[in-house]
Amino acid sequence: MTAWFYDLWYGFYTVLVGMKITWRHLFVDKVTLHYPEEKWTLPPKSRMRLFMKYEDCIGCGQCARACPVDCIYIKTEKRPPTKPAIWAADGTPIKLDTHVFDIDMSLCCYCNLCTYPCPTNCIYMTPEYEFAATDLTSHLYHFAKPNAKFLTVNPKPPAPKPAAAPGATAAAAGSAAAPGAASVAKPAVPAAPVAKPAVVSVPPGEPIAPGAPTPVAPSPGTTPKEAPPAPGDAANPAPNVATGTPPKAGGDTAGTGGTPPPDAVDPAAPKE
Amino acid sequence: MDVLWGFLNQNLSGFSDLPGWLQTAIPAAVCGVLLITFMALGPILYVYVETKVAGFMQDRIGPKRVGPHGMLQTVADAVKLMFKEAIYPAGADKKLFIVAPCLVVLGAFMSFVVIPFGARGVTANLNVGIFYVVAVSSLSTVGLIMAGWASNNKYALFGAMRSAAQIVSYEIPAVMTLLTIVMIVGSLSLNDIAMAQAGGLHRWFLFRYFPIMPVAFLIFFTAGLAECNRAPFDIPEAESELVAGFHTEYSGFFFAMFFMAEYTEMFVISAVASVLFLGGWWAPLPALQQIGPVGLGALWLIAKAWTLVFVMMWLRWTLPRLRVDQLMHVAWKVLLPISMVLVVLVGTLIMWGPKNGFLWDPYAAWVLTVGVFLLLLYWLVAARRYNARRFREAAA
Repeated sequence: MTAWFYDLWYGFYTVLVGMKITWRHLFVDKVTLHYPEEKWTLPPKSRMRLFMKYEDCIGCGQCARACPVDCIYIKTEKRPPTKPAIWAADGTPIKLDTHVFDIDMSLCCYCNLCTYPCPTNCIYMTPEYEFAATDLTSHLYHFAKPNAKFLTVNPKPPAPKPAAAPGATAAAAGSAAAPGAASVAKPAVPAAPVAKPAVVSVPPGEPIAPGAPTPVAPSPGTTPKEAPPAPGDAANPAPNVATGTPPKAGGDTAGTGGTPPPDAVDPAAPKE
Repeated sequence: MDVLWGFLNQNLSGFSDLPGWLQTAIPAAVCGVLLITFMALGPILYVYVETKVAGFMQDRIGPKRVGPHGMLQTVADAVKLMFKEAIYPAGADKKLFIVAPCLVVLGAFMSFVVIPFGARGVTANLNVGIFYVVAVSSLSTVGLIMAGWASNNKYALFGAMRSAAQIVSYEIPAVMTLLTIVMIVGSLSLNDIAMAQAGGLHRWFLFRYFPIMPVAFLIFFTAGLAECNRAPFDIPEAESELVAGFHTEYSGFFFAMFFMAEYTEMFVISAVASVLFLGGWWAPLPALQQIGPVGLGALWLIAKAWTLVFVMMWLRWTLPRLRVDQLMHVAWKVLLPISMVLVVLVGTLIMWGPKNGFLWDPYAAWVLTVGVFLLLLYWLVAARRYNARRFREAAA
């Protein structure tokens, strides 16, 4: 009988305790975030979409080798000595013409390992995370300027160029106006050589063409000009992770660059 | 209805010349339309409030998109449900399948007829008011069993069985506590019961024979909660066990009817509890009964009923669902013995004790009421202060 009364009181009391808790929670601030209107301020080192600043890329391919999922595709060839010399923002001479620099963000695992080995800090993670798309191929970003499809604003302030020429600013202006002028300028792409007498390897009036209809196959516009030592560009560039490294450019990496399977590169990557 | 009849008779020329059945039918139709509008639109409000209460109790904010503060969310839901296709499962008894939700809604709606919204604001002043409410609200049980049986679905049938067992069990303590009120008043009419509580908060039956009638109120409210199939007594539609119980197979408008019935029944139970224990349309202080010539009786009744509806929601989002055996335990081994003891005690007191309650009833009533409100206020302030402290610490 005592137990019955105790249970009765205990049941009643615990209900009241629970009601007290929920009553208090009625007046506590809510944790809901109205996502599209409100957004979290991201932590400073948050890793979102990759960005590659094409003007600073020297085509060394170290990011592609560091990538554990092989989502960076690079094809380069040696820059002919007849072209004027160009430099990256930190003064590193650019001895390779990068024809293909594609990053497949649908494969990317956001590990940030590609940004550490970059000698010129031209590849980095941006805080941009709202890039969902209905088409998987639209996550394949072309950063090589003649075919570049990457139209977001560079979140980093532009670094001063060592030999700034008016072409650089003009190129920037051209890229800003890209979407409008794209269709007009597209026929001009194959005719235009990669390098002009500017620091940036984009001619001043050349806008960023918003990609060929099928982004997987990069437009072969630039490649027929200089007989490519690399395998055919029209083919799928995906499997050739490091083939873009030409024999001469990375004298140190040339021996290993072409052949090693990605698995062999992976363990070494985090140490850098 | 009588008031309406009198009004029409005086102000509408030719009304008294109409045939007798029409003189009854017209006020009845007007009352019916008013009540059905109130009942049909009520669930839209209750569901909205329920989602908001649920959200706030879980530190969320509930619906926010449709309309200002999501106020049109339930309207949108209702419209969606109305236009959805009603699917009849294979092997279902189609006639019963359609009749069942109508019966459930009917059972919930018919109780409204006797609820007094004012001294004369009652559609039908039956002299067996409480008895009518008890009888009619059991009609929805028939509907639930019908729905479960006609669905040709084991979960639906399980839900229906549980519902039957639950309502049969919980009606007994509920009616036992009703008996105490009936003994005190000496009438079954809800109007008489409300009239007997005139004079302010301390005259309410909630505080009569102080420690006794509060217990009766708790038992009645608990049993009422179980009769509405509301959490923590929602085992007939226990979604973690029975998909959705008796309305597993229902879709579209029939599903909406079950929802409407549930929320209407919540209001009915709360309104009946208000009339029985909380003074019906009487204000807690006689001075608040009317503003000038305008009586506030209906508003007071609705306010009390909505407060109890809020408590039902509060309980739902506080307590976990009972098991079937726990449910039966509570009904048969806890509520029923206590309510029997209460009946005996109240009967004894009426026979040989003070007829109008103990001497300390008014003091206890006011102390308890003020104490409860102060406690809630204190918890409110404590929650806000805790909130501020938490944010200060987070910022530091």
